[in-house]
Amino acid sequence: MHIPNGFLDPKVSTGTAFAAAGVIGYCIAKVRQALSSAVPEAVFASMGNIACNVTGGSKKLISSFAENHLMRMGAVASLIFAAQMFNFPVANGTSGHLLGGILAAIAVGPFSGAIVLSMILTVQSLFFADGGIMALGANILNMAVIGTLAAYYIYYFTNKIFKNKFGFYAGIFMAAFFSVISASIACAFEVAMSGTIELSKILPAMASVHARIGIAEALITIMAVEILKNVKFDLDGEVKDEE
Amino acid sequence: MKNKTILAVILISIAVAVLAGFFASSHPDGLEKVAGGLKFEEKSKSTPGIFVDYTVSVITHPAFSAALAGIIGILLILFIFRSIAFLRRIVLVLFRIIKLEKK
Repeated sequence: MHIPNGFLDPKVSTGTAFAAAGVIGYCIAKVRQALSSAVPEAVFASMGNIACNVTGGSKKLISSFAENHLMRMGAVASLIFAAQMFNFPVANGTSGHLLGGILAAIAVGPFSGAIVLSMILTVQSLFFADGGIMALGANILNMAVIGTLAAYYIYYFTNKIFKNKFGFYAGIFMAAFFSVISASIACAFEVAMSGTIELSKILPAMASVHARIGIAEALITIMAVEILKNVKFDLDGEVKDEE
Repeated sequence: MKNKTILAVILISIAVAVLAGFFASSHPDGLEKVAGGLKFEEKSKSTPGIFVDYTVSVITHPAFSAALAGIIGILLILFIFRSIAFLRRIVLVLFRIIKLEKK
């Protein structure tokens, strides 16, 4: 549901851009904080680069932990980027593709996941003409903030209530489904607020199409999480116990 | 172990991109379909881009073109994250040097 240029009026595009920038800025701050505070002491000792001599025993030193986390984010970003290219048919001449927000949030943590998604969306709009540059703020707000950060908490609380395998998979299923639905509803509101089309028309159309895509999203996310587990990808998030 | 895992994920994503080039559905996606159905599709303005709609213009074969565009995209994203890690390292070292000099 990448919104192209022209669907949004300047007011909505700038408003969503500021909102998205604020939340992503907060996410970056959160990830930086987690990376500089969650470095285990063992990692401090095991660094072997020249920079190590300069940084000495500083708390904020160049940790392989942080660089590893960044590369994990990159790997997940490339996986989701590729998966977003894979359009699958859903119904009568309509296709859908993975949003990947919940996959990113489970793989690298909700805040890093939102950064991963916004990075993908930026690359897509700058180089692949998928989603307008003027609508980038709205796309980031829909897919990275609502579809990743907000939907992650469905997974989180389901996991908290059912502390077993059922909770894990049910959480992924529900979070992935609602991430797509809520992102599409937000998209409908933004397009309607811009005066492109009446809300009463676009809202049911978007929600009904994306309900099907949401089910596919949930199944693919569960499959992808299983694949990540099989290649021993740590599903740790930024820090072990996310609050 | 870590690097192997990350390499595995990158290889999987390249495989997905190549498969997407060959097998992805070319039907309009959710929003495009709704826009077409409600007749506001024509309001969309095309965005300029190097690889418009995931195609590399020099390759005419649609599947190979999309697969190559996907691989380029993956490399681009990996490059961005690698650069962030690299810049982070440089900035941290610079800060440390400044601090040492002040002492």
